[in-house]
Amino acid sequence: MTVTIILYLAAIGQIILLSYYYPEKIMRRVNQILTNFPAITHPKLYAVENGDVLAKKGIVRFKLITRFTLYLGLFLLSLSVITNTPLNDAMVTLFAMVQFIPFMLMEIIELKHYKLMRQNNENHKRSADLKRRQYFDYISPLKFSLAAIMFAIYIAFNLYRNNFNLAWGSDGLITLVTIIGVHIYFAIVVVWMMYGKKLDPHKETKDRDRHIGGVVHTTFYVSIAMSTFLLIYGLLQHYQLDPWEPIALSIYFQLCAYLGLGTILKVNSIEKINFEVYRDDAPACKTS
Amino acid sequence: MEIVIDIDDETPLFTQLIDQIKKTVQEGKLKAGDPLPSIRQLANDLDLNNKTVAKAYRLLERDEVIVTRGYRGTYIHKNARSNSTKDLVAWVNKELKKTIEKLKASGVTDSEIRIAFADVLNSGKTNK
Repeated sequence: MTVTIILYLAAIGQIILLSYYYPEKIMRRVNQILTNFPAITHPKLYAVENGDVLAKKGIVRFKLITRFTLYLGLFLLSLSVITNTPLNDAMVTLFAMVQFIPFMLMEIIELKHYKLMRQNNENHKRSADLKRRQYFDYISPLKFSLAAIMFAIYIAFNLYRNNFNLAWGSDGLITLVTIIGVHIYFAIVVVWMMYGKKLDPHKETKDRDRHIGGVVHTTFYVSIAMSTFLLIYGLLQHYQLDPWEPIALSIYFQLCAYLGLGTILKVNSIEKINFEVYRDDAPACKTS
Repeated sequence: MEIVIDIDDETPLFTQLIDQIKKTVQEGKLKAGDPLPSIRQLANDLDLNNKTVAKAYRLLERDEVIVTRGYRGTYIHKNARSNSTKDLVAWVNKELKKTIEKLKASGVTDSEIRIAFADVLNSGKTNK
């Protein structure tokens, strides 16, 4: 009974955090930007002529999708309570995937917006910092080592659990390939952020650097959370504590949202960003 | 240490890059041994072709303003400050002017000088 109550509490936490708290935070942020830095004074921020109108429409759509996931989550949770059907791993994971869809769509739209910004950039002057960007400028070697150790511990644990024999198609092998794949993806994202094309052509160098730092820290936190979660999940399976598995999963997804979305929103807070670069008469981005 | 290039300027982009890096060195903002961004990083930051930055780096290395240490990257040369004041293009102009004046004094026409100059340059290329 206690486990069931904890599971429902975790599920409520997941629904509220991913379908209400963070969407509300993002919508407040966009509305604040639209109010304080309108297209009439900061045209470069909107890339296209009616960019502010499109942004407002986008916010309405984002609200509709996130509200849908919120009510869907509450409905499914109520159904589970009424029919006395406990939530399982698959349900928690599948619902979390649905909850993450609006954020992924938002990310795609943001990348498209940056592309438009680059295409419509009429500034003939371009600037760059003559400083070599290095991974350890953004994160301490100690923190990196911690993530690497946790990763190595999980790999060793996985191999030990499977008697150092990972059969083709086995759960152990699939998890191992997945976690390695996720880390390769993280590495690609970090390299792309550090050495790739400047996404926002107007952004000030210090704002860009802070954003890169945020991405590096997000990958670090999520890597540690992932290794820790998989260790705990493996232990729960080993000791056959099945009812605790969906709880661990739900907490893990919430942690990922907090460490991912939370970190990025925190490092890119409106107060820290220089919006003067988006004014019509702003020169090529400046290094502070 | 910021550099700004103007894509509408008549000066070639690689020359703008060379001039700005040399200027930064002369002003003491970049010192001997300081690391420089990789070709890819600088090209992406300035939205330029990698080849443009590579050409600028190659010429700066020839002038001993920068030094490339394999996979470790590119650094400011130990004699960069004095080397960055040398202007090879100005020296070439001066030397050519002297030679052309000498040739003209001997009665050689402009077109003969042009043809001979192109021949010498081309034979230099084939010899390489």
